[in-house]
Amino acid sequence: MIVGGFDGQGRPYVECRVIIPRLLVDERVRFLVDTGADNTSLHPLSARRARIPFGQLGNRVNSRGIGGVSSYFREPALLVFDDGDQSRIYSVELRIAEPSESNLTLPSLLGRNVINHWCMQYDPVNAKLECAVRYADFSLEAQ
Amino acid sequence: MSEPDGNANQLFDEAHVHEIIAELGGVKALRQGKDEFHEVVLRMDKEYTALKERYPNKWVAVGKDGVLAASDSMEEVFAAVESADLGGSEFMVEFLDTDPPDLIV
Repeated sequence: MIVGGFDGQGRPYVECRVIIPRLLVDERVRFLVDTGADNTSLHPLSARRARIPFGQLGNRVNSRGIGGVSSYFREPALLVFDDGDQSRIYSVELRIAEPSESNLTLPSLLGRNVINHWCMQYDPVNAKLECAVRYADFSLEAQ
Repeated sequence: MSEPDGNANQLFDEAHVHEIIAELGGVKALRQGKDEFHEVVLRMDKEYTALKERYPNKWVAVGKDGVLAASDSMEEVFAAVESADLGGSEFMVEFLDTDPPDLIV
């Protein structure tokens, strides 16, 4: 089971390791679980902590949200989640937001490209968020 | 809804993933920093309301032992933390907005 939780504002989160091989980025990130997001995206606060080299990004794409259209850079990445003794790995095209005044404080979002592979128990009253994995691109056993 | 057979858009093949993991120190190493980061995250959650009263509308970095830096500027907070040579798993930065807009994502 991948175990998440709820933050001080009651928002559902899971933590994982984000590996972007081309950029030599390897950092733990907390993602807001967002069933409304098509894709997984890294927003500026997480990107800054992970020291994303924005000068090396390309492959730009626009994404539409409630707040309008935002600009993202696409980058192949591995998302690694701890699931008991196993590491569950998803190979994704991560969206990295171009920093702007309006998205500076936004959380990074875990979208349906990952969470559609899970069965989630969402129980905020008991502060419980548990995700049973139905599929992972790769599963590795910790020796 | 049936479970998908797999990820049709998979970007890394198995050999490449094993190579990447090996370069990072192997499967065990993947878990390094997990508990440390989780501890920081929990501390931020637990102290969020109190921090907001103490540092209204400031950027704040929190580590496992408490507040590491606070400033009006996000960059100043990151600079302070990085000058202490802390890794990314050892701290978390948040803006403590006293009147946060509803988040609609």
